[in-house]
Amino acid sequence: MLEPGKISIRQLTVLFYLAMIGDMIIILPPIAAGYAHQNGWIVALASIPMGMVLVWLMLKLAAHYPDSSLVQICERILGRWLGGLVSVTYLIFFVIAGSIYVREVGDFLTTQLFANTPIRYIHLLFIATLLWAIWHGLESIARSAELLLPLFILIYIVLILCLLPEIEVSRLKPILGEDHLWMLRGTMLTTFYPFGEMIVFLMVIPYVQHQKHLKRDVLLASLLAGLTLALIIFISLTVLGSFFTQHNIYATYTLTQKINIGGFLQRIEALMAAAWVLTTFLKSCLFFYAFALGTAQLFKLRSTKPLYVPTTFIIFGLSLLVATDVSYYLNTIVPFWIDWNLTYSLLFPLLLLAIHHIRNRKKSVLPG
Amino acid sequence: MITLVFCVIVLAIVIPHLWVLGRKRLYRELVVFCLLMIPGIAFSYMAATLIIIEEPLFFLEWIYRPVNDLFSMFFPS
Repeated sequence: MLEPGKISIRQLTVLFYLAMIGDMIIILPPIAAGYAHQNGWIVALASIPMGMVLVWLMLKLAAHYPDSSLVQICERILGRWLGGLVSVTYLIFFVIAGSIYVREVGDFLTTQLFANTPIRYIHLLFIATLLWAIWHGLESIARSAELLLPLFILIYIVLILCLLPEIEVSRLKPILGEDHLWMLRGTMLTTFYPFGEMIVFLMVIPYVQHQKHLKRDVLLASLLAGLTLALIIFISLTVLGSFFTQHNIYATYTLTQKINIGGFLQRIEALMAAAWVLTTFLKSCLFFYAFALGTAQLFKLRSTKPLYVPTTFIIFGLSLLVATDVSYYLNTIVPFWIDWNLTYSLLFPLLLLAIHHIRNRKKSVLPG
Repeated sequence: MITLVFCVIVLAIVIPHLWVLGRKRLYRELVVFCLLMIPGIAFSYMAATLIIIEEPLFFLEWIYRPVNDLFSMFFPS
């Protein structure tokens, strides 16, 4: 077994919740408002059932092969070569997505908090922390997620409560007055962006103890994370309005800057930044881990640890090379990135499930 | 200067790894380590020397633009 550790269902659920929120808490409001304007919150709510279907599909695939990771499932269903090819494309997805998250953190910190620090040094520190976390294994990452969850929830609740006086519901009007096709595109985006990327959990699920309530708990975590994201989009739209939410890259961060309770409680945006960096850190950890573990499984290695350092180098390099600037990954590439997520979270799992069922039917029809 | 520092860091990291993997006779791990290290060093060097690639995710656009165009044709906005 390449991964010696085992995590509990509770740890998996917490990890799932925090990783799904990940970078989305900052980047989803402007993207959703860009597609659906003041109806961004409706689009986010509509995406929850669709997203849960995606997660259910993923869990269905995992249930057929409880001891196999995504890479091993591909190989078992599609064979050594074709399965290997699909696995390689998944690994490319994991490493590029992981690099994008690191870049998002770098861009955010250098533009909002550490304006005079070169982005390379922020990346270096972040990736060194990632390497440290990965080196200590999945159990340590899951335990860290458990420790960080109360902190994240506290910051999130403080943010929501402090912004309640600023809410103006009239900013949501006209409700459903937009082009319905753009609303549909927005729903696709808010489905495949946060929910679709959770396909990475197929690399983790084989290392979960007692899988009895796995499906129920993970679906519940996805529902809660979807609601958390929808609420932040709602708050962003009602406090900042659709125009400002759409044209401000870090709308959620700007929201925190607006908090002013009695001229006393103000400038608590660093808390929001900390919460966002924490959730993005966990998501990056998972993608880093999935890439290293998947590569080790693909090449049938005896240990994953020798691959951590090369992966660190790849992610450090790619995090700077993968996008020319912020608008590249928040505007230019978004329509294609959604398609990419759709391919990996819906088309490939559907294809794998279909082939699995056809094979099983053939086996049951043919005697012996 | 940055090239020199980069080379020193890479050698300081890679040589002990190669030595340990070779000593433990983990030859398959050694090959995969080298296979991943080559793009890793290339990408990191490019990042360290601030080389910028225009359209780095061109392959995504190349694969999915026809699909998106097809959908736009069926559902014009």
